[in-house]
Amino acid sequence: MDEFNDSDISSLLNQMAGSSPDTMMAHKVVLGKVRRVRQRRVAAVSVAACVMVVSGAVAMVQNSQNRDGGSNIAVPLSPGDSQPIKVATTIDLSATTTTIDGAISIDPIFTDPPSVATSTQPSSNTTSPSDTSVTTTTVSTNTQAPTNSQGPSITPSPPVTPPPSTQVPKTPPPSTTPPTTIPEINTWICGGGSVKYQVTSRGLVLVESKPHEGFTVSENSARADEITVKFIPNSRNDERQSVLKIKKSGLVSTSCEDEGFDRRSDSEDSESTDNNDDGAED
Amino acid sequence: MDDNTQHSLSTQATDVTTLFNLHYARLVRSLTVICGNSEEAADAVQEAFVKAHLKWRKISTYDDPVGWIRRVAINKVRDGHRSRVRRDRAVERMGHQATLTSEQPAIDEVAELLATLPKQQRAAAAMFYVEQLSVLEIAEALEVSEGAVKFHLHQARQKLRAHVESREEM
Repeated sequence: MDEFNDSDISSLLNQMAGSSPDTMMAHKVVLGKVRRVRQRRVAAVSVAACVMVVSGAVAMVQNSQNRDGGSNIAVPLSPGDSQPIKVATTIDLSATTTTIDGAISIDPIFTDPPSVATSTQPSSNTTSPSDTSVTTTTVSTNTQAPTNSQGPSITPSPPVTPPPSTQVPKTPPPSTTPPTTIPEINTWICGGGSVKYQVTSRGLVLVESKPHEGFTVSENSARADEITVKFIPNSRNDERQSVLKIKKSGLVSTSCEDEGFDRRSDSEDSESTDNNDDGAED
Repeated sequence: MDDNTQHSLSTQATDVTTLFNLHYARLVRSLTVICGNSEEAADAVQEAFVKAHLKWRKISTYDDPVGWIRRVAINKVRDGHRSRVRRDRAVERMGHQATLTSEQPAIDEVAELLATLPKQQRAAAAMFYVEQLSVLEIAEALEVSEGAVKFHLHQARQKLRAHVESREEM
């Protein structure tokens, strides 16, 4: 490349290029820049690694929770978290037959309220709900046929359930005693007969079902929430019947279904009878 | 960090440092002629060596690592020149009289003359007369053919020769 060699031009350009720069200082600057760039890279990689580790750990925890349904996580016990104590109540009621004036046989019928002796032995362990012992309460009833028809009957007492709190009082709950006040006896009359019942705190109590003359009781069911008495005539030719229902669901409702009763004709018959009597007098 | 890693890092640093000590001054002076600003040239060369440090494992396998560093530095200077030209044009569009920052400061008449040369001619002349590179090395650095380098050198030499002769006559 001798054709391009020119000492004058070379000296001119070298003069313009100036003196040689400080190499050592420039090298330090370059190394400093390299160090900063590497620190930034290391920091970025570290942050990315930490994010990945944390996200992986979170994903593993979530997977384990989904797989185990969260049962492996310890949850501090609190009184509100305890499970309620189940108490089974067994009531022995011997059906009795009560003979009421009028030769009506009612079977079964609830008799005097027994002296209910409830014994509850709640668990004293209050730390773990799973350790709560289940106590069976036995209610023994003294079933004696009443001497009169107004004797209150027994209805199954509601199950005695201790409070949901795990702190069960050491003293047993008081025994359930019947109310001292005698409920009022209500009477409901329909075509086939009349029914006397009581509304107590435990439900309905059938006191007496008395059919009219010529009728008899064919069906008699008495429960705490419903009383059903069906009166049918004695003669087979008579198609009349009465079904009396008393229900208690919050309020007490009564219904009487009389079939075959013609009150209008009865009244006309009575009027005609009266007229005949008047004519006879004349 | 084991001994092998430390040894490799020290070797890498030594190699880059050797290259830096051997070629940094030449590169800066050559780019000063190209861009007309010594500070800008020094910054461009330093950035090129920083990249060489970070990518030395790959660059060390090249046949001419210095050529790679020179090319990176020239591209850096070109990028700076383009950004300055765009900035000056934006200032002109805003109605202000743009200061000719893209042009190198007029140090003397030679600098003014170099400023009138095209970029390729300026770069070829700087590498040939300041850095003492061959036509092939200049072609690789400028990413052009050898014939193009010869053409640029010829054009630049004619203009610079006319200026030198006019100075000698004066």
